Amino acid sequence: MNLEFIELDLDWPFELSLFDLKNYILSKLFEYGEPLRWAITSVTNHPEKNIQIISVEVVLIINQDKGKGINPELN
Amino acid sequence: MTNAEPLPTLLIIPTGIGCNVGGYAGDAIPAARLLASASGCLITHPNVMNGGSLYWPDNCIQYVEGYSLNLFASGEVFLKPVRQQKVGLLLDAGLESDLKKRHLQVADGCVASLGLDIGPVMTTEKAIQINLKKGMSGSSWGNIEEPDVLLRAAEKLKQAGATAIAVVTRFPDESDELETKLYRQGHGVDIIAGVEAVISHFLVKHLLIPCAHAPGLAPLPIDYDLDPRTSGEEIGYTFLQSVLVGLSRAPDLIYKSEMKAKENTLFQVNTLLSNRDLGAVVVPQGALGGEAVLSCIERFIPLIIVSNQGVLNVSSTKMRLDSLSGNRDKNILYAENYIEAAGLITALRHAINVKSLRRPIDCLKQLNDE
Repeated sequence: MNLEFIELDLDWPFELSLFDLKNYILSKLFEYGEPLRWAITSVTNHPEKNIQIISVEVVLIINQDKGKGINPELN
Repeated sequence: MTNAEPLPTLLIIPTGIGCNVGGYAGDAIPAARLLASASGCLITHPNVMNGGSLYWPDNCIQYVEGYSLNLFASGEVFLKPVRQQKVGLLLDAGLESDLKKRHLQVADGCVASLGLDIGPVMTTEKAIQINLKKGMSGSSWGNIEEPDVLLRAAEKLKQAGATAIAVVTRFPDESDELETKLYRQGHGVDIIAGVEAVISHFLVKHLLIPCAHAPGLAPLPIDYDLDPRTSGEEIGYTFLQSVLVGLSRAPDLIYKSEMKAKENTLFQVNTLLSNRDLGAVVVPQGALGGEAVLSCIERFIPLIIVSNQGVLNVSSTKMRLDSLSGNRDKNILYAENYIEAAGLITALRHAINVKSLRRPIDCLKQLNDE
């Protein structure tokens, strides 16, 4: 297994409640690996798109045998 | 229940984000002691309680590592207070012999002078190699090159009877000199703290026993402009003593699924702490994007947001907390500092309406006027 640190930006649509945000982020992180430690480290407003963008910094556990990889464009 | 019963309170000051209080060497310990006194039961994490050579054991404080704190906040894990843990000591093979010996002497000293139960001791089969990283936000992070090596050694300690694990890994001495200087003078982020949290998260995730980390570092030359908040890391050869003291009374971690399988569940529930017992969570303004905080928000646990500047600006406004309506916004309180937060906890604990303490105070409204 490997540990990888990545940073990624996620859309936070205005219709998505704060109370559902944690599960939404986790579902996105699991696309890249198993989140070990993560946090939202910035939030920027984009009212013209009716969204906020959240930046997440995360250390993932990557099990090589499961074939999950990281898209470097998201770093 | 009487009003004077403890109000279990979670204190979070995230690691590696340079908080004015709690971003240095155990400099949030006084705040933790105050909140523990106000609440009667404080649950907090190693970044708050580890002061390098300095520490403060307090029967009202539960020392819970960050990964297990997240599980606790989400309701996946219960905490079982204990009298004493048997703390295994895990040493990185990357430690030079003198540095390794210093750590072993600290462990011996904690047995001889503090009465802790420490052992067994295990050295990894090879160096685990630490990589320090810094995020775009300025937070410290990092990873390890040999996680499997670390885990194998930790598993052996657990099999040999350790009920908690203190891990010491060799950190690179050549980390950014300017960062280190700024940190020591009280103007920067603790560049090694983030990866320390990663290491303990990794071990707790796999072993589900209390774990905490101390960095193995060569001594630094004296700095005549040292900030007092970092002094706890300058007065000894290791940072291990505070970790050993914290772990020696860290609560056991009990998975919710494990509870269902055991007998006497009702008895156990009465002796365990769960997230349902939480009366408040105290967190810095600007650091509201952590997993445990989000779990507490989901469960409407009263949130006390304290002004405590760090490098992040994930604020109540940005997290849409300021725009909550109805009963939900009544669970959010603001404090200028930890003294004020202690006052709010005291009010919650003794069922004093916080509104009654503020001025101006509004008249009651009749529902049929609206």
